[in-house]
Amino acid sequence: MAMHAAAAPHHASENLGISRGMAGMALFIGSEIMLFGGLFAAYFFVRNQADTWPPESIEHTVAKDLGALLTAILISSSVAAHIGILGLQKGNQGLFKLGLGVAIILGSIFIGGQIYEWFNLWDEGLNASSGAYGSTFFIITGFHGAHVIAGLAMLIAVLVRAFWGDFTAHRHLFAESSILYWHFVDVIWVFVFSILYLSY
Amino acid sequence: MATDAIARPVHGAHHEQAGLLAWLLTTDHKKIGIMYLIFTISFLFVGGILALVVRTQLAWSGMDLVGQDQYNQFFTMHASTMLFLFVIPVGAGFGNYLLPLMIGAKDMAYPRINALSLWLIPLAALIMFSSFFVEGGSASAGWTEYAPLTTKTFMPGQGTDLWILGVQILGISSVGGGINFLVTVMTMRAPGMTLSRMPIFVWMIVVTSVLVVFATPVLASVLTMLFLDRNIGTTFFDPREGGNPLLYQQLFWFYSHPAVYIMILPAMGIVSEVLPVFSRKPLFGYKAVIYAGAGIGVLGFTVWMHHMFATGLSIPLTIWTMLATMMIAVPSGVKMFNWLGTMWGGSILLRTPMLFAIGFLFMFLIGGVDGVFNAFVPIDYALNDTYWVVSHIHYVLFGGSVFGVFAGLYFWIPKMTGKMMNETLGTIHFWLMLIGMNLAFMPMHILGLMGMPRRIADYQGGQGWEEWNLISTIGAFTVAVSMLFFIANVILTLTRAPKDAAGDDPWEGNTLEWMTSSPPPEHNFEELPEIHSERPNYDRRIASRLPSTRPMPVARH
Repeated sequence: MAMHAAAAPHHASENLGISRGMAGMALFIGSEIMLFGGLFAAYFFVRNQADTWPPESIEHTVAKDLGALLTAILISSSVAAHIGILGLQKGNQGLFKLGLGVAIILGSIFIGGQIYEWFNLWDEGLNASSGAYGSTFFIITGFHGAHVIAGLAMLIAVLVRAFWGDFTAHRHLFAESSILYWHFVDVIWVFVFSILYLSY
Repeated sequence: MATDAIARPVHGAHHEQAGLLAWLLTTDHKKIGIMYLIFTISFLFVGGILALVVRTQLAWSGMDLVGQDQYNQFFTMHASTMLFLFVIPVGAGFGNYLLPLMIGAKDMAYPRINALSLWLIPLAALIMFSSFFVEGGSASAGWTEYAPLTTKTFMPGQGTDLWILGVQILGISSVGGGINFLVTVMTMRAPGMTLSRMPIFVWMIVVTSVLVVFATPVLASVLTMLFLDRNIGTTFFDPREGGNPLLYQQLFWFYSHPAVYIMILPAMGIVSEVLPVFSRKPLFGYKAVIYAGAGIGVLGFTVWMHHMFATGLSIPLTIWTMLATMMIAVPSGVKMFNWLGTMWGGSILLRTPMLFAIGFLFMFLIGGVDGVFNAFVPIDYALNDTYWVVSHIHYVLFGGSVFGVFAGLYFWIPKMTGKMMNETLGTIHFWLMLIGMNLAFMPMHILGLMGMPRRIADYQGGQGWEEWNLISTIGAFTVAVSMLFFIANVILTLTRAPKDAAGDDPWEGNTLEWMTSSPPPEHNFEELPEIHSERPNYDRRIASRLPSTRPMPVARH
């Protein structure tokens, strides 16, 4: 079933000049921002009431260097996706597929790194039961990781459809909204890294 | 059936399937809207039966109908059913049926997500009601489910987890619907349907949807935290491990306060559609009503801490919250005056929809004034968690939302079915419900002022509480009886009423839905009407100088 939005132009000039797909994705991202907002609010709440942060009882805290590496990987992934969509807009299907492929690979490496970090922390005794510090760290990185996986699934779907020849320079709404979502996931990570890793 | 059997071209083999399967697999907003209404009204009745158990237990001191634990389950599930399975989704149900029709669209922006939003509701209901049958029974800490009472230490059974799961699923349904409504309004309005010509009901759905999309995810975050605290050992709400029970309350109410506006705004929209039609006069102050609705939405995001006055908030926060809460009465009052101004000088027709709309005005006014009184912090210190609050919430939710819902049902069921409902049964329903509701909830003002706490399964005799409780219980059963008249009316209408008696426009309405057949064809309009104002049907009626049996005052703008 082809995307209805890509067919004939919409009813009337009365309508806001935005496509259905992008409007929906933007609102969905808005709701996701509020979801992370609740999680970060919890983080700030418990951190604000703590005597010190990390709390005295925490022996092993999260590794800033690993966090920095993951940040670089995810940002590069977004850049690759963006280069890809720019290429598509100019009709360069090859660059589009390359950009997407690199984005997917880098995103997968990010997830691998996140899982590696979690196992590492669990080995060192930091887990979800490690008080407020552990609870907030794992719920935030956990939700973020889940969103990365969802974003990767969308990018893979885009890549598959790219190989099917579904997208043209002027008609690629699914690709554009998926990549917007991917950028959102990246921006959230920047907040995660700055607040959870760097801010103490 | 009124639908044509015209072959549809190209766009993906959309042949109509017959019977039940057509309904189960449909993505048509009208069928989805009707199913929303069937589900949510059914849950209204389920929640009502739970209320009857609660009221019977409280009818006199020393009643032994249910034990304490069971009683807690009953009032928890009464409220959870009413809020999450009835009053929030019923707005989406009306929105689903009406919004595309009212803006001249052929369906919603995302028909398949629409169907998903619908079917998540019975799924969530199944999960939530199954909790009655697990060890420990259903959730039982009130619909607010505060930590630490709801941690595994005190609530080890799975009922709470099933409740959390059900509410999360309903949240997804809700947000999906909200995004759908907003994108539909943004991108699918018919030519001539500018934003300032949309019906007030559509505007109220827009504001409601903004609240839904931006507030519901916060509830999702806090319920996830509760679930994790209960099941994997996180400590968000445990102060011994760096957490805080107040964190639960802050995040919970950040959603749940805007939620009450999600519950009332669609009903206000319905009343704004019904009153002009049955006053034969345009809505007074169309733009003011829109701005007031938007103002309620915006302010509503800032006052959630008024549910937490008794928790030791800082003075500046407390004062801001109190002032902002009182300020919400201003846009609400603006709407009240506009509704009254609509009726003033009009030619009033007391048909059933109008009875419920007028009932709404009086009952919501009482509930609203209760709220302003309660907003005053020293008063809240005394009245919080007493029956005063129960009175307030039921006047605004029952007197407000439920009356609005019935106004809408009696108004638009003719459009949905092509049949007219019985006015006598409708009138009896209204008066019994009005009397019953006031018997049930007016005494709770007094009980609250006397200090009767909420959420207690029994109370000591001889304090002067029994008499008021008994009256309240009688009122509750009166309401239940009134519902029987509604059910009878619906059954009679569907089975015995003459088909096509309604025609396109039985009420001489103003908006687009009255300019197509009853029920409308699959793609809503055989031919889109011209739209030059916020009341296209009225314009066409005047232009074609169709005879009207009722006097038509000249519009003032």
